[in-house]
Amino acid sequence: MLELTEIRVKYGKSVVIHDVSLSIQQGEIVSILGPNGSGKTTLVRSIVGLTPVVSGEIKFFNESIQKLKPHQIVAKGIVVVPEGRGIFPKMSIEENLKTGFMFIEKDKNVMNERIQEAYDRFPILGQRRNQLAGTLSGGEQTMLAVSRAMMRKPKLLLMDEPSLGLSPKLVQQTFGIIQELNQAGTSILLIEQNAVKALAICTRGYILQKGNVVLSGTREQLIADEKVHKAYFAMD
Amino acid sequence: MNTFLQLLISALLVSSLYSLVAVGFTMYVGVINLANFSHGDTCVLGTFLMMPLFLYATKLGWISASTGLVILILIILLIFLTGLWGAAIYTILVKPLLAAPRLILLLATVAAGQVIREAIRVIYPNGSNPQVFPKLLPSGSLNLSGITLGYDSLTIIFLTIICILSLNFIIQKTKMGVAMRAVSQNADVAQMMGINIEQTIISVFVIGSALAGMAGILNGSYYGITKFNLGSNLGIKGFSAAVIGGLGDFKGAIVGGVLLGFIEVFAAAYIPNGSQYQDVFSFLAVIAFLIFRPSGILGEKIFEKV
Repeated sequence: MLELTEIRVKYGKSVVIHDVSLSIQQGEIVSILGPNGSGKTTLVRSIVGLTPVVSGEIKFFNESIQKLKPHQIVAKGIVVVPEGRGIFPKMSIEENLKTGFMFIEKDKNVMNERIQEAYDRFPILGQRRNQLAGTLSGGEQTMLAVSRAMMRKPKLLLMDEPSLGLSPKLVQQTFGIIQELNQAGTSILLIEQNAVKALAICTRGYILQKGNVVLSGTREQLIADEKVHKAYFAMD
Repeated sequence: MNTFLQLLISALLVSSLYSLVAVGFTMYVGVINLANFSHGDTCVLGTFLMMPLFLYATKLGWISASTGLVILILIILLIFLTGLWGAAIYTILVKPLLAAPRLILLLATVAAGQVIREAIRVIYPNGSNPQVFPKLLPSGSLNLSGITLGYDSLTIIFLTIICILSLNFIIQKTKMGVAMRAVSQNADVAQMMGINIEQTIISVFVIGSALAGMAGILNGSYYGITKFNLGSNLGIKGFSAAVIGGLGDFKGAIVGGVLLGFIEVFAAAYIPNGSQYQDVFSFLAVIAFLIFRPSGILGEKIFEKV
């Protein structure tokens, strides 16, 4: 459904993504692993049009999208859980949820249903619906960011380091939700540093280093790979 | 006691004008982090657009017929025109420089203010000199046990409250308002939510400029005079009010405008010779706020947790 063909991204004069190609098929969880500064977040920004690509092509359902504006791209069915969660701190929880819906879809009844679904899933959000989102703890903000992303039942969900800064228990819970969403039919592109967790749930993966894909394959292939094993699992 | 109440009304009048200007200022800062220094001159542009409109309406004999209604229509037309000017400023000046460092854009707005001032001098007949501005507001006054309430002051205060309440409704309750707040809190994420950022910024410019036009003509018709360079004072006062309120904070800008108005009026009244240097007191207040409370008078600080 999403296909990146040899995309190149520059900040100023320096190339931060070197002709990267990758793809996600319907129903997959694809993870992109890599250390800080390897270009993971830039990749997400390029997919949604916030950082322009210099060359290459990005296709979503066989339609070229790299020339579109961000709001046009996300309207095609892509939803992002941004790095650092990206909630709006001075809006109430309920308003934050609405922002995930109202700018693309119209039906108010559906919106209220989805808000209710979010409150059913995370009762704490419902209890605090009128509280400013900036007052939530890190874990609660993650619940809010994920719930906001689910407001539109996206075809493709891009998650940029959802586990960052969370307690192990919350990481577990977050990854549980990711799997649940996937089983409900959402394809997921999961950007992670936490390779152990990501490789536990993904179908395929890419390993990014300094803006290059150095390795890609199915979950099993990656886990079996000696370099991956050394880098990520040797400590376990 | 009577003097005090009289001063209260004067203070509210001055506060109204400052708040109208400050709200626009603070919205620009909120949405694109830009202090638009042509904002005060947009107020004056409003007065110089209004005068020919009024003249034309008088020529057609409309003003004598049903004055109130015609003036209301003229004011609405003017708000529309200055709003259009805001859209033009965005398209011509801001959009091409959006990617440039903000300082460059800020200087460009200073230049735009200069363009407005010089254009008035060149284009408007006898534009370098002060112009008599038509009395748009009802004359006469209400006498309440020794306090004189001018209908013009009351109208200005009333219109300002209407403007601010409607703007508050737009910001809090409408889709456009949610978009503006989202962009001001996190422009990138706002776009990820499907917000058309360009549309949002342009609507801020339209609303801010329309309010500036409104402030300009209210100011003009209260004092009965306008001049090409009147905008620097209005602009700097509006900016100061926005700073006191915390740049980017809508409610703060209104509180800042009110505070500034009260400081000026009461300093002029109660400090010996205060009226000769009333500006000193308002700018002292600004400096005090910058030093002791730079996040503004309402200044609650909520940082995004990482």
